[in-house]
Amino acid sequence: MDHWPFIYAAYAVFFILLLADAIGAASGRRRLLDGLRGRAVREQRRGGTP
Amino acid sequence: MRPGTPSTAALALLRRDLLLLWRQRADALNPLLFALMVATLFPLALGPEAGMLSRVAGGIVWVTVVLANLLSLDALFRGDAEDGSLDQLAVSGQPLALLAGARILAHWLGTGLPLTLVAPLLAYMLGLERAALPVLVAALALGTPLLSLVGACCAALTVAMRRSGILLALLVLPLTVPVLIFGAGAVEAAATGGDPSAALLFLAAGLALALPLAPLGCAAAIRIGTA
Amino acid sequence: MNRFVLWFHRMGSPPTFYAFAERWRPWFLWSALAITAVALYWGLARAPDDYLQGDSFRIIYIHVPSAWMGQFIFLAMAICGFVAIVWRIKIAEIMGIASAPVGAAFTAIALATGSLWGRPTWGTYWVWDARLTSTLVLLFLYFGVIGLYRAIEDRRKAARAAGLLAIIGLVNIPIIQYSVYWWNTLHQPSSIKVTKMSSTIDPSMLWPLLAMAVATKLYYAWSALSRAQLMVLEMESGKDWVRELAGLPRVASPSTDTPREA
Repeated sequence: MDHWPFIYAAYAVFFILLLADAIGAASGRRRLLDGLRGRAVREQRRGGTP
Repeated sequence: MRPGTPSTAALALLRRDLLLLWRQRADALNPLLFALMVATLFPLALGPEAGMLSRVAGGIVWVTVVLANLLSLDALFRGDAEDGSLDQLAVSGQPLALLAGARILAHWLGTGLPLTLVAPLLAYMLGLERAALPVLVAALALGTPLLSLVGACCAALTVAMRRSGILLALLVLPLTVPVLIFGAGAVEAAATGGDPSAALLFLAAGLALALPLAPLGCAAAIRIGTA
Repeated sequence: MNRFVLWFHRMGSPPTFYAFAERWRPWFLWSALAITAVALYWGLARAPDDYLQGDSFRIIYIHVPSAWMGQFIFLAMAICGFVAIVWRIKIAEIMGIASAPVGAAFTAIALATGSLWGRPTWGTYWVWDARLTSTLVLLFLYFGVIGLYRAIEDRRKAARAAGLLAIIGLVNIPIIQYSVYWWNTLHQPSSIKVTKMSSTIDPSMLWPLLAMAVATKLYYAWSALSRAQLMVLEMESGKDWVRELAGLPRVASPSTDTPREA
């Protein structure tokens, strides 16, 4: 039996799952910092202590 | 017996739990009824062919016991957590692990032990080999305390949450897999004429390990939740 | 004080930890990628065929390191959990949880690649033997840890509870390792056996494997540190150093003793 389709599939699983993990690990930062900035600006507008 | 010692505290807790269990004995029967129902579902689903059913009977009984045990786990600490008694137990100055052990014992006496005693009936209904019945009881006698011990740790972990229901099952079931494998393996060995002692010894070893450690884990989990 | 111990104490401070992670992250990622490229090139294109299995053995270069990492990371989670419960160190709580997704990913990879390796080699995608079953259980334990963390409201309690679950679940690791020996005493020997890696492996196969083991550890470091940084930012979002990072002006806050210039 030709083994190479299985080998390709296995390596694909490896890279796809780790890519998904990498995206999860790297992506939240900008959103988080923007969120903090937004919260601070909103609080300042309301005039409360930031 | 002097009041205020750890042993009196543990015994008092045990008495209280068993009393509560007795007062609601209709509810306490639920795991047994559940086990009976589930054991009945399998022949309905798999077909009554005697040879096939008796081959899987040991496994079916074990799965049934594991699931039925799960039913009474959620309520193990929840009632006390809700009315603040759990916090009182935690700051009582008595060793929390001992108190947790008393609670676990009450759980086993109310759920695990009855299931172990009913299991031969279930096994007979499913046509398990006669020779394997004593091994089934022995394996369950060793395994159900293990299930209570491990399950209680998970129940203590989820007590901080409002509606833990299904999460508790997801946490407990992977941890019960080794017990299931060795327990059902013992029955399988006995049913096919092999030697069940290896599996039973593994169960006994697991129980010996869990008896001191699980109450400690329970206590740690309770402290995390009530801190 | 011992330099190592001092370093540990410093790492317990969130801003120090964040700076450390920020400095070292890129190195971890790029070295992981570089080693992976070299190892896989060597393993896929250059190493000779296995005389018994043909080409499918090449899956070993991702399957075995992933399986190792799945277990290693679970152990790391349990250790972080222990430190978190005993000493209540925030960074320990965070590192434990930050490790969980990578660990689950590696475990899932190990299961999937093992399955794809099994089909051409032994004719079946799955068999309920000891090691596969207990690795599947390990994946469920990872989901349990992640699920428990997400289900509890207080973040610090959630991290400690999840850490305790990891400690309890640690019992599964020896089962994965040794069950291949125990199984045969319980069941009849199966016609399909999962053989343990023999130490008489040809060096040309061994080096890419060991290199991948190193590369996966480096990737784990990158992934866990990145997630940990995010969690630190969220947990410390009221503090001055986080506000500075977000580009906000510093203000007097209850957590500092003296007000600073705006």
